[in-house]
Amino acid sequence: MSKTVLKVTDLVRHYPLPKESLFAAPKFVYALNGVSFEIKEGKSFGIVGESGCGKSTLARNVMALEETDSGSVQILGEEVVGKSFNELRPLRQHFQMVFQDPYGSLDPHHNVGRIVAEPLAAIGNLPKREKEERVAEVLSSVGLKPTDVGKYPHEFSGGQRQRIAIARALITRPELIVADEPVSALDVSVQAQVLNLLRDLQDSFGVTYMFISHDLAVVEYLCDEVAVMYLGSIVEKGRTEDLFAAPAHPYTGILLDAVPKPAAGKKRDRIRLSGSVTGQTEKRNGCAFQDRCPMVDDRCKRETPMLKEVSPDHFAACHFSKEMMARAASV
Amino acid sequence: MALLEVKELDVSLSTAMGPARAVRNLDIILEKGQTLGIVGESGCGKSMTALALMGLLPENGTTSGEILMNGEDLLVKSEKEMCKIRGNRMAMIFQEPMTSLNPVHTVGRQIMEPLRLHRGLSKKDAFTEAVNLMERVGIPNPSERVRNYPHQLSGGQRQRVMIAIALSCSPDILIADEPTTALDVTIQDQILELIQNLVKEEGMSLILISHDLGVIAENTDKVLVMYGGTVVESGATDQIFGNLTHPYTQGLFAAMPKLGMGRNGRLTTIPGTVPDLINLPTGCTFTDRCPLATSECRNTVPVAFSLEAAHKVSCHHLDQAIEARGEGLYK
Ligand SMILES: Nc1ncnc2c1ncn2[C@@H]1O[C@H](COP(=O)(O)OP(=O)(O)OP(=O)(O)O)[C@@H](O)[C@H]1O
Ligand SMILES: Nc1ncnc2c1ncn2[C@@H]1O[C@H](COP(=O)(O)OP(=O)(O)OP(=O)(O)O)[C@@H](O)[C@H]1O
Ligand SMILES: [Mg+2]
Ligand SMILES: [Mg+2]
Repeated sequence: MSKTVLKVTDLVRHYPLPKESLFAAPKFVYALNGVSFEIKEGKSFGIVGESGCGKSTLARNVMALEETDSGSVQILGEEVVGKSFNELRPLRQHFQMVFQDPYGSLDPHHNVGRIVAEPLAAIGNLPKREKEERVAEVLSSVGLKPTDVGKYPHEFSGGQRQRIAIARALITRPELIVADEPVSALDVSVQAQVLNLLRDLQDSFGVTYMFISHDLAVVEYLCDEVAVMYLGSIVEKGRTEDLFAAPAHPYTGILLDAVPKPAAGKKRDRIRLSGSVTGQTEKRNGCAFQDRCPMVDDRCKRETPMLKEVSPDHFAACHFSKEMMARAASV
Repeated sequence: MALLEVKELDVSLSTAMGPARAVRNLDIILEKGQTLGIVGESGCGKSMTALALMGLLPENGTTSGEILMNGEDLLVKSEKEMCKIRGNRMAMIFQEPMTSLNPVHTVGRQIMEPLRLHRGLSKKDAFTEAVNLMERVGIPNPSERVRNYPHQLSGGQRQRVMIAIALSCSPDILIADEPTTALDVTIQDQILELIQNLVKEEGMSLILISHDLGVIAENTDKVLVMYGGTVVESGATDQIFGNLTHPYTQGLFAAMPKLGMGRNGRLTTIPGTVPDLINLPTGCTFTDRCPLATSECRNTVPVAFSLEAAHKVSCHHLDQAIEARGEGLYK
C-alpha cells in the first residue's frame, strides 16, 4: 500500500461579504462546504469545476495560506491546519504551489534568478554554485534560456512568466505540488512541453500533484483521479477514465460536452447550462445544482444528495446517477 | 473602406541588449461585424499587436506602419485623442485581470467609471447598469458582489469584471486578449456567446487572441497564425482548420491535448523554443525548429503564397508541408 501524501477531511471555508448596511445580517460566500479526499504518493489528482466554485480556495487552504474555518489537512501525515507560519516553514520545502495568477505572484523588483531560487531558502544554506546550477537546470526544464536569469518579470510574455512560476515550484524537488491552473495561460506547444515535464517528474521522482484545471483534456492527460466541484462541494470523483467514460453527475456530463473542438466548422449543438450560479451566498434545501439541472425533479428540491459510491471507486452526489450512467453506456 | 486596416505594422521594444522586434510586417483587414482570431505560441507578439492597436505599448515600445480606423491613422493621434477612442470606439479585455484592476477600489466602482465618463450616466444609473453588466457576464449575486474588492473574487470572476468593463460602452472593435483562458468551459461558453451576440446584434467587430485552437475555430471568421512576431499563415477559419499547412500550424495542432486521448502516449511537442527577438535569424524565423528546414530557409525570408483565395502561407517547402498533413510532421 503506498503512502498517503495529502489527506483532506471535511474542509470548510466561508468568507464574510461586505454588509449592505450596518444593521443587515452578515452574509457569507460558502466557498468550501466540507470537502474530503486523499491523494496517494506519486498520483495526480485533478480538480475541475466552474469558475468561482472554490478550487483556488481549496488550494490556498491545503497550502495553509489562509485561515481555515474547520476540517483537517494532513500533508505527509502532519496536520497543517492551525499551524503558524514558522511552524510550517520546515515542511514547506515538501509542498509547493504554482499560483493561478502568474503576474501577481512574481515580485517585479527581483530578477528571474532570484525569484526561482527563493524557495531554496527553506532548505538552508546551499553553496552558491549549487544554487546557480539548480536554477539553470529548472529553467531549461521548463523551456527557458539560462541567460534569462538576469531579466525581470515584465520582460516576459504571459506564458513565459507562468513557466518562471513553475520553475520556482520545482526547485526544491517537492513531494507535493499544488498547481492552480498551471498551464491555462500557456499556448499549446509550451503546454505540451510543461505537461510532458510534469509527467516525467512524476515518473522519475514520484512527485504527487493536486492539479486544478478547467481544461478537461489536460486533466485527462495528466490525472489518475479527478474530482468535480460545484458550489464548494465535490459532486463527483473517481478514476479519470471511469468518470469521463460514464459521468454520473449531470454537471460533469455538461462540462464534458462544453469542450470546444477545433475541427473545421462552427458551433456544435450541445446542451447548454441555463441560468447562472445561485446559492453561493445562501444555504438552501436540496441539491445545489437544482436550478440548472436538466434532470431536476421534486426530490432534488427537498433532499440534498450525498456523495455515494456508484461503481467501484467512483462516487457521485446525484439522485439520478444511475440514469446518468445508463445514458452514457447507451451511446 | 474596411473598419480597421493595419499596414506593415512593426513594433520594436528597446531593451538593455538592443531592440527586440516583437511584431514585424503585420497586415490586418477587419470589416464591420467580422471576427478575427490571432493564434501563436507564447511570446510571438500577440499581446504587443493588440497593445499597439490600442496605443498602449509599454514605454520602451516604438511602432511604424499604419493603423487605419475608418481611414484615420491612429498612430499619428495624440494621447488625448486616443483616450477618447479607447473605451468608446475600441475596447480591450486584457490578458492580466489582476494587474489591470485597481486593488483599492471596489469592482462596482471600476465598472461604473467608464459608464459615467463615456456614457454620461448619473451615479445611480451607472450603479444599476454595473449590476446589470455583472449579471450579464455571469457573476452570481451581482448586487452583493458589486461591493467586493478584486482580491475577494475568484480568478475567473475578475476576468469577467474586465469583460464587463470592456463591454460597458459598446465599442465598435473589441480586442479580447485571452479573454477566457482563466475560465472553465461552461462560463467560457457563456462569455463567448455574449460576445458573439454583440457581434451579431450590434455589428461589433472582434479581434480574439487565444492559444486555444478550439475557441478560435468556433468563434472566428478568419485567422492569423503568428510566429516570432510575424504572420506565417492566414485565411478563412474553415480553410485553415480544414487544411493545416504551415509546419508551425501543423505543430500547434499536434501539440494540443484532445479529449478522448487518455493517458496513453505523450503529447507531441515542437522541439526548441521561440526565437530570440533581438537576434532574429535572417531567413524564416521557424527554421531552427522546423522538420522541413533547409539552407534556403535559413537564408531567405519566405514570401506569402496564396493556396486558394485568401489562404496564404509563408513557407519555402509548401509541397512537402501539404504532403505531410496526413501522417504528421512531428514524431
Ligand atoms: N516591456 C518589454 N520589454 C522587452 N521585451 C518585451 C516586453 N514585453 C514583452 N516583451 C517580449 O516581446 C515578445 C512578445 O510579447 P507578447 O506579450 O506580445 O507575447 P504574446 O504573444 O502575447 O505571448 P503570450 O501568449 O505568452 O501572452 C515576448 O518575447 C516578450 O518577451
Ligand atoms: N477573500 C475573499 N473574500 C470574499 N470572497 C472570496 C474571497 N476569496 C474568494 N472568495 C469567493 O469564494 C468563491 C470561491 O473562489 P475561488 O477563488 O476558490 O474560485 P475558483 O474555483 O478558484 O474559481 P476560478 O476558476 O474562477 O479561479 C468565489 O465566489 C469568490 O468570489
Ligand atoms: Mg481559481
Ligand atoms: Mg499575451
